[in-house]
Amino acid sequence: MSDSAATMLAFALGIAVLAGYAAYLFVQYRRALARTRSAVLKERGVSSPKQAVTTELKPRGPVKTS
Amino acid sequence: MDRRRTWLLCSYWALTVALLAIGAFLAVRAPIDETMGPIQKLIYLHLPVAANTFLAAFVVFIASVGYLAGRRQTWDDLAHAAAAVTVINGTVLLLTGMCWGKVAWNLWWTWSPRLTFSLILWLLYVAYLIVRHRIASPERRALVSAVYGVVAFLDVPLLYLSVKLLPDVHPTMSGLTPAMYAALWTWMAAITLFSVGLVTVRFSIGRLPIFRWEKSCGPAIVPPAAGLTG
Repeated sequence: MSDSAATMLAFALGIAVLAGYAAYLFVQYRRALARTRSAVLKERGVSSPKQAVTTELKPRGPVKTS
Repeated sequence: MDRRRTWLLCSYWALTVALLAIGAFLAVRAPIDETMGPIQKLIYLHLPVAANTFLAAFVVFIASVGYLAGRRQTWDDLAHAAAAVTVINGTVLLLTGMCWGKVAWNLWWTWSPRLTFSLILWLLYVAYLIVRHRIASPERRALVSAVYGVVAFLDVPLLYLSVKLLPDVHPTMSGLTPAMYAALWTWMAAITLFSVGLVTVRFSIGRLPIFRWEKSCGPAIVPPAAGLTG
């Protein structure tokens, strides 16, 4: 292996380790956020996030009270 | 507020990636060292990760002292995040060093003082993460980790003194041209931003309510309302 190839390989290896860890953290962060969100919804008695959105919708027209 | 935070985070990581790209460009453009050849360019990655390994180890030390002084969970979470980044930077430090050694000395490894203390430093922080993982009680884990974090940092001054006092085959930084310094400092800025970003993200994960709940009580079905909605 030439010196240039060894240098590039070493750079690639180092950057791959750093980028791999960053990607792992990003995925872990997203999963933890999703779990937090689903736990909050469960606590509020909402079975799915879709349902939670529906509960927050405002009526489009006037609501009949009688 | 959330939109502003997202914008700030995106800007931060965009700046880091841009600096890495500029660093890569400058490294390619920098002149090739006459004595070492192209492998000398590894210094642009090797030196910044070395500096950031010590910086992250120092953060573990400060956070450990902070925990021992005030017993606040925030310090423990910061120490944990910094220890993980110490291990990652240390891994890159050792890998790039070994690649350099193979080309320059035709050896993957030699037991010189600087290399040995660097390996010990990496092993100490790997052990730190393993020890943390093995202790179930959060208070006990934080206390043991804090004491360990203070003791483990003693390797850093030893490493520094070994460079000054003991004979070593490890090359010293000399004879760099301005173009080489420009590449080196750009890489230094990029890797420092990257490491600070990694510590911040790891720390944020540790501070998420679901994680705090699981750490103390096991996998959560429904965490307490105060922790999640507050």
